[in-house]
Amino acid sequence: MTSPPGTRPLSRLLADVEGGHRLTAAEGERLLTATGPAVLTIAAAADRVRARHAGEAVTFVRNQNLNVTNLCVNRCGFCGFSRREGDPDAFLLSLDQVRDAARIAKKRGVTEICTVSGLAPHFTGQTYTAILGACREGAPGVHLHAGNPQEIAYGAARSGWSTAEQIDLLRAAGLGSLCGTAAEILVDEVRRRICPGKVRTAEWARIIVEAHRAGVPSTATIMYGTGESAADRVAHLGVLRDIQDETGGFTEFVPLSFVHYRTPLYRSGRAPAGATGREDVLMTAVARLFLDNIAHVQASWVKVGTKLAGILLLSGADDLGGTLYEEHITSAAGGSGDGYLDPAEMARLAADLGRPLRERTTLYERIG
Amino acid sequence: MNLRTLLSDTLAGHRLTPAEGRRLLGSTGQDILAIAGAADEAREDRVGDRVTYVRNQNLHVTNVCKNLCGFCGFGRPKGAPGTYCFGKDEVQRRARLAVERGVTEICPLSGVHPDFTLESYEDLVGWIREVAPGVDIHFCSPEEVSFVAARAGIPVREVLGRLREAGLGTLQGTAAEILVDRVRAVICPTKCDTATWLDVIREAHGMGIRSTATIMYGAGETGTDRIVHLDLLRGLQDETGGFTELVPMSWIHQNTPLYRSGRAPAGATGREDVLLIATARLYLDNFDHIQVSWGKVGLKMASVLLLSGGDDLGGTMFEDAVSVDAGAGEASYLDPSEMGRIANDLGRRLCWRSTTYEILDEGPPPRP
Repeated sequence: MTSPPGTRPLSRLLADVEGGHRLTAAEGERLLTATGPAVLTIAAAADRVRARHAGEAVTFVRNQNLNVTNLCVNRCGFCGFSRREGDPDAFLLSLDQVRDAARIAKKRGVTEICTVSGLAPHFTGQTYTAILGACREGAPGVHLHAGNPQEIAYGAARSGWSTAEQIDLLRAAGLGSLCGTAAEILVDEVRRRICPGKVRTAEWARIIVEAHRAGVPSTATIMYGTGESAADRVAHLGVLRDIQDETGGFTEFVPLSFVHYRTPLYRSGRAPAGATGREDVLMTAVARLFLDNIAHVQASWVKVGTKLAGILLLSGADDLGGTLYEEHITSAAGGSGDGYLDPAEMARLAADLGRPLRERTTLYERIG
Repeated sequence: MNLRTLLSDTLAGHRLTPAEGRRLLGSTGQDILAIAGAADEAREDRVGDRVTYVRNQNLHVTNVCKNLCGFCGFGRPKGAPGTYCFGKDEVQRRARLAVERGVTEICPLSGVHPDFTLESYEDLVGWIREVAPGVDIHFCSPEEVSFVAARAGIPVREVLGRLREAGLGTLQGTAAEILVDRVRAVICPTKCDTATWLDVIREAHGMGIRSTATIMYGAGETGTDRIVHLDLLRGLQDETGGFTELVPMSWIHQNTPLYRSGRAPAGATGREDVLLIATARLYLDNFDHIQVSWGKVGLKMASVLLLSGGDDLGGTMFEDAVSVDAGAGEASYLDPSEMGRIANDLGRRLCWRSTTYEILDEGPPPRP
């Protein structure tokens, strides 16, 4: 790769980053658009930074997803999961069913229950706290990783109180950490195209900061591959890096590669067939290099499959995410790698790379 | 010798020894990216930046098979439910459909029906030639050739001659699996042995019938087994020059007896896929082309493998029940426009080729 005029050669830029230089947006964009052997060079630099910041261990969390409903007032074009009331395959769990599901999860020995749901039309702020309450009753002591800025904004608006109050109520009901989802791409122009009904960028950031300040940490995510530009991806990383400078509340960064098959955006020809393998490698590698203040970068095997997950662990990632006993969002979009990944298979993936596998909590405390 | 020196020597013309090849295949960590990078350079030196593909159609004639290999989810015993064996009308209907789709290759892909004779294969080739003149009939593995030769009690050379007379274009280099008899005794005990496979290919090449070379890896064989296999292919290519390409086929494990009975791992890891392609590119210094089998590894990994020594995306296929029945998610049809997206995404040009790698259309240069 030849260097654009007036810029340093790639090898020097990468050496500088390894030495502590903070990537600018323009430099991040340049890395994301690399082709040819430069892709492997960038992955290798990210791998070295990973080794220094996060060590050799590949981590995972024993968790269970709990999808309470697929009813949703939104119709995001990238989603194949949401349904309307009256749709034949719409579902809504009762609080009793939630409690039972949580009980089963606890029996399986999970340390985290992750509840992700649609925005059902009749849900209020109290509904979300009641769901957490049922989880806590069914699985006392298990970390509840739930909600996201969109659900908080929705619950607060439906109940007529502030998002800060909604966060306090959730915490009182047992919330351990917030999902950093609904971020998608934090560029309003892109959000208008792919998720017009969701909170705007500033609102997403405001609620995350509010949660972090209230002592509720969260993950950070990006959902990429629906046709946004490299500049959009870097702008997104910039928003996350700035928040992290301010609060330090992000536990990890989770790049979610768009699963396109059964989504309206792809089917109507308004989005490409997801990200390419090159884009997946560079998203992980550039995130590792750009987000110098986030300790962990996840390889989402659900989204990219276990083969590519192995490669992403060589390109800056240090975490394999959860065992996920049920996950309907990816399968509804047509992904085939979802369901459940046995820790034994995760250990094979890690050992194959010459790295140990270690179980962690949601907040990255080591277990065992 | 350190790895960097070994790789630069290899790029300068050093022929890898089996021990060195074994070392490359066993690499972990950053070495993997260095080996992939060297293989990418070797690919560039040998064939430039073209990514090639062939417009072809697989044609399944029967799923009845005498072998019922443990790594296969496709073959069924004669008389079992769900079996089929097409006659002239159906074979010709499918071949005509292939012609309408503009394919330059028809690739019959079938079980080895215990009742098939040389005449059965002559008929099949003849039926296809009748309705698809000018299309390369890429057919018959050494297993099929040796099977009907033994049944007819005539030499392999005579079988090949009669098949060519009937219209055979090129021979399939399949049924190679792993060319180590100890491994074959576990994964495909009733198939022809290593020596027979090599003899049939040698005979065909000597008569001017070219073939592919394949390796089916990930069913539990060792790195040494893989290198022995590559070494046999390299040796034969030195003798004949008749191989058009190596087609590495990563084992699809999900619905196969070997995996389900716990006698084989869950296929190769992404690291193994990258290193198989990269090491093959470096080891097989007398092969021009290394294929990336998107039906086996998925499109994301295909992109990564094109950065690791691969230069060909194989065929459009239109159907591949062998991979689908074994549990592959993405294995039926890949539109050339999607292949073009993957090639261009890497900064490379997609070119349409014939079975024997004549360039039929250079394709547009990648957009910057």
